[in-house]
Amino acid sequence: MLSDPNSKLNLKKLKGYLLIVPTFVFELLFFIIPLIIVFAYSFSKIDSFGRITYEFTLQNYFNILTPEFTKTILRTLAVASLSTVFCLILGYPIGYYIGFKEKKYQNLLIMLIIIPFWLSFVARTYSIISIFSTNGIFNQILTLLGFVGDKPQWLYNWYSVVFGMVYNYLPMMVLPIYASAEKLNPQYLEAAQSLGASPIKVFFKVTLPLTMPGIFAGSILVFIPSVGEFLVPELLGGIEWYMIGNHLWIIFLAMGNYPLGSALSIVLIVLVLLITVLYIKYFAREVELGF
Amino acid sequence: MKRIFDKFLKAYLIIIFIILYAPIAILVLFSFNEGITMGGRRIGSTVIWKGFSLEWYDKLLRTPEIWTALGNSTIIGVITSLISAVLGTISAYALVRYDVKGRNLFYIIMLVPIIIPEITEALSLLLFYVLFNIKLGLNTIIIGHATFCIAYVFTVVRARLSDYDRSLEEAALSLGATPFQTFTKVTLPILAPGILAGSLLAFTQSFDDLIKASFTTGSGVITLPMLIFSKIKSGVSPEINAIATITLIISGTLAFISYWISSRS
Repeated sequence: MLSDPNSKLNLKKLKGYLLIVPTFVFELLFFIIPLIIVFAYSFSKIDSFGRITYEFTLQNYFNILTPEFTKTILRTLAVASLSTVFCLILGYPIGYYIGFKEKKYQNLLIMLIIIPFWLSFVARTYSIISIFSTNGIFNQILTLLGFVGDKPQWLYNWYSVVFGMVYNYLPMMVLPIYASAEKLNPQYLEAAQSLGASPIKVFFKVTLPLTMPGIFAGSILVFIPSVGEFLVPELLGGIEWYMIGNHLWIIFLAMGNYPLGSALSIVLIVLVLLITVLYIKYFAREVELGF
Repeated sequence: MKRIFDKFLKAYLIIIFIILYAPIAILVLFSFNEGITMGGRRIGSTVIWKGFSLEWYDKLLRTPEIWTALGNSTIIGVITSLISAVLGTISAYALVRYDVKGRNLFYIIMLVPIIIPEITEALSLLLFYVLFNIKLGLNTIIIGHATFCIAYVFTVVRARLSDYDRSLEEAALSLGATPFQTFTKVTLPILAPGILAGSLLAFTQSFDDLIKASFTTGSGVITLPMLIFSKIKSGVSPEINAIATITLIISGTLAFISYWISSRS
């Protein structure tokens, strides 16, 4: 049977498109278009009866420039940055250690790091309340160790929020660092050492630069969910430590002020994108997300 | 020097594991804490041990709203993972096997959920539903979950497709099998573990999600994470520990099976 190779090629191409179109349309409809709608809503008006009129206004953005929202935005950025830095300091030695372990232990140790991440986020965050409440386990241990006097309140502070973030997002930092440490050829380290470099010099001149892609990826993977976090400040921070996510929740689900909420979420998206892009441009030239 | 450093790192790792697992272990432990009767009501502590008891689990069994929430979460999780399995598999197959234009655009769409916070996705979907007058309920949550769960199946299946031996397919074709037969009898069985692993992971992500479900729910549909959240807001209790323990067991088991399948093959 003679067939035109061109038409056969086109048929094959067509098949490829047919297979990709359903997912593409699904994501376009329920993911991309809704984001465009948020953008449009952020310029719309709401009257005192809560009715939304589609007239162009920048009022929602001006409302975000008020001290209350500006403070929240700065608090959010501070908490997210601090959480990222703590995850890096705490996570780097873990990723490094596992990356240089024998293969048979590596899988087990990495699995132990990932398991908490699979478990319910709500349950994990809730579990911290019992540890750090006034009569909680942590204060009980302190009493056993001989610390007497007033039991400190660990919850509803910036450090309980940061702890909650680090507790939940540490695996996101460890995995990419582990991936880049595991790829690092130990012979480089041996070479540097045999040429007379001190262990500290080897670390700063060889190990650290070669694991940078993992550090960059890990920082992005921790920073982004932290900036948009709702549950951790809600349960461990309280109103005093509310972040953008908590305000979005209230504005949308309690107040129903969609235009204001849309403007705030556009600010959030722009901040995240801007920080990520600048970060990649100036620091992280090679980002390996590790998946 | 190096040995001391190694020992130090090992000790550090053990401390980190204790910090990671102790809160979860304590949560599970206190779900078995005995309560006391106060003012005609049973109350219990989540921090002071009174004795072993199954009373909170007994209470759960007799609370209809828990069963409703568990049912909703299960239905949402199952349908979400089925949608993700189908869409994730066919799109991965198309991108690896066919020369489609706009491949990069598709990858970007799959990656965007990683670079924008989940809460903005959730509220944008709510606005979409409101704008088009779509009735909120189970369906709207399922759609919301599928938009981010497809990526789990997509990633796993794409990885499997990229490093597998195509000569098996060629053999089937040259032995006279139709392309459809080849796909169902050869390709699909090889991909099956990957699809299953991805779908299980998609189920756990859907099952544990609070944010998207809260924004896209309607007419009193409540999921298990939403129920736990609303109960925490009205005060801690061993009863919450018991519900949380059940969700930990369900998602932990499924995620472990998923991991086991994908690491074995």
